[in-house]
Amino acid sequence: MAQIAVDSSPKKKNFLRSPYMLTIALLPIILAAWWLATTVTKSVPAILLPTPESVWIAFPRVLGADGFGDQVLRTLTEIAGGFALGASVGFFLGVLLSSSSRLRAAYLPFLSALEAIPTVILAPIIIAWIGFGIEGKILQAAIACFYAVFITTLSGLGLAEPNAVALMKSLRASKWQTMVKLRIPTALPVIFGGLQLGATTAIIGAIVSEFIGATGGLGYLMLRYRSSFDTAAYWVIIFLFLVIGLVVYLTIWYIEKRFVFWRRIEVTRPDLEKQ
Amino acid sequence: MTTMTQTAPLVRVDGVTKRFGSGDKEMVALSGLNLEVREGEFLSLLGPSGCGKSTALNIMGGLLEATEGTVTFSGEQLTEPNRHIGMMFQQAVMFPWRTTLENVLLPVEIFGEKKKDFIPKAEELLEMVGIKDFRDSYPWQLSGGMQQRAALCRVLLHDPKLLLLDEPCGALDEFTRESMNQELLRLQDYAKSTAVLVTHNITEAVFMSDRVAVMSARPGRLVDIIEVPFDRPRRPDLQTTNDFIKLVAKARQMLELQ
Ligand SMILES: Nc1ncnc2c1ncn2[C@@H]1O[C@H](COP(=O)(O)OP(=O)(O)O)[C@@H](O)[C@H]1O
Ligand SMILES: [Mg+2]
Repeated sequence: MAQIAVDSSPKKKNFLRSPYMLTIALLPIILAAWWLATTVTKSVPAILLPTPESVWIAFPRVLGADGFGDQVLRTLTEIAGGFALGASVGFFLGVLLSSSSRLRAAYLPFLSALEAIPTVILAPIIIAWIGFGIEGKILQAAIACFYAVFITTLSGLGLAEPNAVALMKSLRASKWQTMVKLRIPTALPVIFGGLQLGATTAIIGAIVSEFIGATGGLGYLMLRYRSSFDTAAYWVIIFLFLVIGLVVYLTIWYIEKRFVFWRRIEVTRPDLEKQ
Repeated sequence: MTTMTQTAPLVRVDGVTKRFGSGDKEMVALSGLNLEVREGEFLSLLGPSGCGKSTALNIMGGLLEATEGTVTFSGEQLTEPNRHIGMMFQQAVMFPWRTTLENVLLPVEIFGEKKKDFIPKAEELLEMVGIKDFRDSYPWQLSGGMQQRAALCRVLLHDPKLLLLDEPCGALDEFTRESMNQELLRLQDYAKSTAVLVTHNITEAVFMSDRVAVMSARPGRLVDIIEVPFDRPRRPDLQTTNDFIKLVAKARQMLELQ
């Protein structure tokens, strides 16, 4: 139901049965397997996969390194800036193309074909054009995430029920009114799916482009740790990306819950929706 | 039984034909429909599924263009939706992100009027159909019947001269349908509007209407019009009287004869 999280009292009892427990239960298993493979049996060389202990020890070293905060901030700025830019352009183009079948016929194949160009190939070109700076990374992340938002917006806007469209028409609503009062709200659940997907690809876009060439950022740090064969530190940053991904997912999920409170049957978080 | 003493009809449907598609795929949904709707009456369009009732209603509401023929509303040719025509569909079409009251006030926003001017009227209507307590609830918290009542309030908010009802109770269960129909009659009378109801339910058509226009299977055309003489307000027990049953039988026969 949409009355998610209205009632908090029975929540504690149910926590043991919530899907989080599955995740939490997996952690010791993964850790144990990791530990067995590296520390105990030494069957995987440390250069491929460091031991859990060494990663644990590397954490304070990496996080406490000089200027580490700046690097994190830089990457986060790239991701956020790229996502904001790409999602806005994607949404705008989705609205634009949904309102005209001629525009759709003309540009949809072209825009979809663009999406087939991998980030890795684009990155050197962008660097050549606008340099190693943060602007290029923002642009890269924007390009990476724009399509997901664009295509979900476009298809979501077509989901309004014929009866609802007829109602708007019978009220002599303008195209714009129908868009704002009916089509966009109807499309929101789908658009949020696109935003989730787009956020992930924005993260990937930013990192890949830092990998190809950058003067700062977490991807740049990873490259440096790799070239000094500091695998443990490298893994620390992988975990950081995991955390960033999780925070971004939860943030968008939280915003979605507020905007799309009226959506009932759907699935995003069945654990919370049941109560 | 037409006499010359009638005032000009509110709606005149003149030789309306509607074809969908073209070439091999052409399909005649409506063929030369002639119909007059009198000011203040309750008229039903009765016919089998797929005979073009909704098509006819949508043309009368200016939602669809006729392939041939014309529709006149209040003496003027109708070519697009009109403020004075309100439409209801089989689904209530409540926007789930709006509360009941916000849904009822939707036309106010579309027309660019001040919401606060219409809140008292909206509340009065909600009260009349018995869902005032739900004004701040969302549609999914309402039953199908309650949603359809809210849709009725929405369509009545601007006192439409003509109500076009496309099986508004079609998706409701039998009991809810009966009380909803009562509500429709009561409010149509209260709003002093003219109503055209599309239905494939013979009893419902006879019970609700002053006249029942019986349509043939596709391509839809008018078979005949049955006058329904019973007094108003109509009470459910009317349906058990002999006269009522006879009229229903007559309508059934017309539908089967074609
Ligand atoms: N937009 C459309 N395009 C093509 N065919 C349609 C369209 N709307 C209705 N029809 C067809 O016209 C016929 C009459 O439809 P309709 O008016 O909905 O019938 P009814 O309301 O009496 O059940 C049906 O066969 C239907 O398939
Ligand atoms: Mg129909």
